[in-house]
Amino acid sequence: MRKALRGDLDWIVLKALTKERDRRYVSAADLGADLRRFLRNEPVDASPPSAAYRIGKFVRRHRVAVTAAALLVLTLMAGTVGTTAGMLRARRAEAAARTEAATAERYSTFLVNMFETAAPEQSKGRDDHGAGACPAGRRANPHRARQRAAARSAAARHHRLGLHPAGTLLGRTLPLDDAVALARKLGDRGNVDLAQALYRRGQAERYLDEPIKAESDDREALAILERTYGPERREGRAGPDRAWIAVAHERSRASAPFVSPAATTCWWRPTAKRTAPPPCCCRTSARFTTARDRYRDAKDAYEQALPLLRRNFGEQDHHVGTVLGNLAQLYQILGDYHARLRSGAARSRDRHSRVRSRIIRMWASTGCNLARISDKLGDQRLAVEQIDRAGAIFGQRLPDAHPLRLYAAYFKAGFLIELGQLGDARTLLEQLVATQQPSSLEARVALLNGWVRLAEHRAPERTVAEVSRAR
Amino acid sequence: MCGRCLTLFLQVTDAVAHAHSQLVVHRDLKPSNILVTAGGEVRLLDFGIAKLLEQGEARETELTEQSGRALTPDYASPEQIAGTPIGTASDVYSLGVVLYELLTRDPALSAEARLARRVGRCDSQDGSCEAERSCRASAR
Repeated sequence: MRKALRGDLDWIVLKALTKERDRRYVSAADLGADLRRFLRNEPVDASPPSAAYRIGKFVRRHRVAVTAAALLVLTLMAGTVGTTAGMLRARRAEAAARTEAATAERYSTFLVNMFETAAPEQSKGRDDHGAGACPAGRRANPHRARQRAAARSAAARHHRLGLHPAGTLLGRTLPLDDAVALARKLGDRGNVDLAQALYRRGQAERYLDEPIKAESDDREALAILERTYGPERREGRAGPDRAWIAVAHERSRASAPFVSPAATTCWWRPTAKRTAPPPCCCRTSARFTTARDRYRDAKDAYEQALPLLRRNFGEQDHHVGTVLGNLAQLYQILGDYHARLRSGAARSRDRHSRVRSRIIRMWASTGCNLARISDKLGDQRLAVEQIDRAGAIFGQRLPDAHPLRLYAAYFKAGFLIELGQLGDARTLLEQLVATQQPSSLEARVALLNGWVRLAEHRAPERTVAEVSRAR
Repeated sequence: MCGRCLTLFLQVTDAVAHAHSQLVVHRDLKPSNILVTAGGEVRLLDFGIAKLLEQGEARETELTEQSGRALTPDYASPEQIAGTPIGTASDVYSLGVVLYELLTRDPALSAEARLARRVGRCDSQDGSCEAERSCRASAR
């Protein structure tokens, strides 16, 4: 009889016996109808489950194994896709770099030829370039010089294109070296060209993470510019040129803090497990210890550049905005928070007036953080100075129980303790813990910290007093 | 033989279908509740735990839950064993078991499965339906 249970009848029974209700016949009537169809040899409703259903059931049965297999397959696929995409991208970048390098090379060759034929010792009175527009013998006229400068600038720009990351892989750092060498050959006539080439090479070098070379190029460019367009000759130049000089000026000095060899000294304390500091740490050390003078330099340069930029480009120009932003950062680094706020506010005056309050907050917390870093570096006097400046601004703008003010007081007390001024520290902490109605959780935490520190340092002070009395 | 079985079984399905059309679920369909009269007609017995469907679905009250536990586990549908809401499809399951036994003259459930069902497990490995297994084997 088992053998008789074949085909459609099997499926009918199976459908009636399915565990999931939804896959069963809905009612006895449906079951009967299907049985009647079977008896009449008609196609029945019950049928082998679909492939999708069976796969679904298989997955549910072997969930873990299937998941693992799927993950494996996906990983392999992702790996393949990623590798292929990376390869394609690299190939495209390489092709682009080659094209650009070739263009730069052609351009450079053309310009080199042009300048060499235009050089007096080469051209011997001939003027191969633009003979109709520029009569021979008027080689020194300003129009011509400007033309040449523009050509040179374009060449330098092309050179710079040849220097993007893929380009450096192909060893395309040469064109700018060529440009510099060429400009040097031109002597006095090539001064601006040389300065521009040096400036652009400096940019490229900074980009290529060769800051020391970049600094020397920047400085040389600046020296040439100052020599060429010193105060007495400044009036003769067009506005944008002067602004450009100003930007070059600030750049040459503003980049200094990051390129100082002293930057390699590190404030990473030997007590920490790490012996080799991460690169960013070195930068930080340059910023906060050895490079303070250089930051002052940069600040002076920006301050000099700013009025020039304002006059030539107007208050709304992005150059002015950038310099204001950089200045704000420098003021913050140097701990001049009033100036920082002024320049930050100036930058945001017209566009985002609401930035002002955010600046206060940001600058307040960075002020505290700076002081704490100075403390870590062992310069508690500077820390006290910095936190006092921050605290003065807080006092003008924030309510008494503001957590930032409380924290500032708390940190200052810490610095005073480090300096051995225990009496001052205690007074400060007692003022702090006397604060009424802390406005927030942070404020309460700051108060708690204050109490803890006060408790810690009452006893030492007494011992110090006793020791001194005993003497 | 098979044809006669099916003819008789169709009478059962018709009777159950009638009950379903009246929104009544039998809930205890089993061979001992199906009688064949001398005239060859089928009579369904024991609507004792039959339940009126509310909106097509039986709501398990506390009382019927208790009586639900008392039904014959060999023919009860998985949802009846699990105590989840039942419907007309529950009767279909019971009818399927009856049909299987009618056609094969074998109990639909293995001995272990029957034991498992008596303790209320029906969808564990042990509780899997013998009928389902053999049907699948033969269908392949």
